[in-house]
Amino acid sequence: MEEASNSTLQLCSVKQTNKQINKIMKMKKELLASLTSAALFGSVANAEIPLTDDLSAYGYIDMAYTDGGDYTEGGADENLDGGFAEFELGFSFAPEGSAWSAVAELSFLGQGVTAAGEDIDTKAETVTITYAASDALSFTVGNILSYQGFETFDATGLFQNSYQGANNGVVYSAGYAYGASADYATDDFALGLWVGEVDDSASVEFLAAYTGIEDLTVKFIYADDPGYETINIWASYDIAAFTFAAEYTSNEWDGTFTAGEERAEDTYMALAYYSFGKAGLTLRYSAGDVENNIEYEKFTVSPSYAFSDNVFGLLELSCEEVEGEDFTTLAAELIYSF
Amino acid sequence: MKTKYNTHLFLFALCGAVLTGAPTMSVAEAVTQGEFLALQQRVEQLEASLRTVKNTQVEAIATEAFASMPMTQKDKSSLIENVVQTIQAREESANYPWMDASKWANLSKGMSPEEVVGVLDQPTLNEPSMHKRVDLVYTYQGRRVATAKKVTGIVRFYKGKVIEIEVPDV
Repeated sequence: MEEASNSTLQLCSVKQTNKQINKIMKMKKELLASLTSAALFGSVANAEIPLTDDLSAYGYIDMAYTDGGDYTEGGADENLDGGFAEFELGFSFAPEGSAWSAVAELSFLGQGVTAAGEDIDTKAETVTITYAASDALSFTVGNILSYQGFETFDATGLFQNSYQGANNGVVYSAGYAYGASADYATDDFALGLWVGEVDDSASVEFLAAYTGIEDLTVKFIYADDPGYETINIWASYDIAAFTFAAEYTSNEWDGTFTAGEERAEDTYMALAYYSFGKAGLTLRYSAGDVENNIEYEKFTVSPSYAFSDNVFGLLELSCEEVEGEDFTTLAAELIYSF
Repeated sequence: MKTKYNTHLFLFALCGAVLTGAPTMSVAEAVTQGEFLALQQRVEQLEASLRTVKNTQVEAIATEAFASMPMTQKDKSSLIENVVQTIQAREESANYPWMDASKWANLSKGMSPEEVVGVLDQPTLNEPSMHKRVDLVYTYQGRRVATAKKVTGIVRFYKGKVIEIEVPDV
């Protein structure tokens, strides 16, 4: 599983996501006008670069600044980080009429303040081959994203900039991992099973989702790995211009797996989002325990604005208390998707 | 007519050379943005030329065909215009079936993506939106055959249902 540490609590900083939402975001299909037909008919004037009918490209650029630190008397220095956060480029191969499809994504991650392209880390995200046995049943192999989480792996699916954990930490135990999955989805429910291998032992993840009531989504995810055991439950509901969400995540860590780190154990999150049309406002409360009996509480306010279908910006103010110390984080983010 | 024929032949040959040469060039060497833009501009010029030639050709054929018919000059002009418009409408219908205002009138909020495709045919672009209350955006884009005017129509979906329709100016 993909991991990273942060400077304060060394919490897992890998962005996680809800697999289904992510799939929706990534199912971008483009019908590219063929140059041949343009020449023949003279009326097709689409200026897009022609690839093929079966191949589409998509991605996004994420620019973000965060200004965080301990603002209490005698607190730690403030930190200003940001600039280029991520450039993601994905390709989807989906031949018409074929049961086989493939996805390959590359993520170029900026490491804080960068200049002239320095310190850019390149990683593969979803790299999968899928066989659709029917409209409902599919089998996938490759580097697959965890089922866990209301908060999405990609910035494009988040309602705010930060994650719910202490010091912007992710509370889920898994990110991307190599393995195979079987997924069955209908309009009313979905089931998924992922199996991978870690140090000669099996790692499994199970998903059960209910979507039988309009505007309501409920998911239960169970993960069993040599390094952890996780239960993740979340629900979201849309009513009028509001979106409400609640999430509970419980992790039991193997001591050797998290040696030297302090990772989220039991965490709770509640979120409310209100859409004013192109503008929106997110309020989020989260709290929980981190390893070594560290407790935290966090409150986030994040106004946002969709400048177009492709451009989205937000501001964020997060106030958190970790072991009696207060932290305030400000963030500004601009995302361009294509 | 022979000169026009030669012009067509030259344009098709040039298009063919561009089309067949493009993949080879992309494999053999990297194409700079400047080269790409220049090529794109050239293709647009060829498209415009071809459109003009095609319209001229249609009018010429119609004029020739009706020249010997026992009609008044006014009737002949009107008939030629009707023929040209019919040919253009057929070409537009074949390439852009959604460029029909009556089809957009059949759309309504709450329709599924499949229902929209059933009415308008496949969109030019199908992409996600950064709006938190929009999942998918279907963009229908093209140019009118007769005028080359660019027209765009947009249908937005949230949770599998149409929530917003921007009707193209057709």
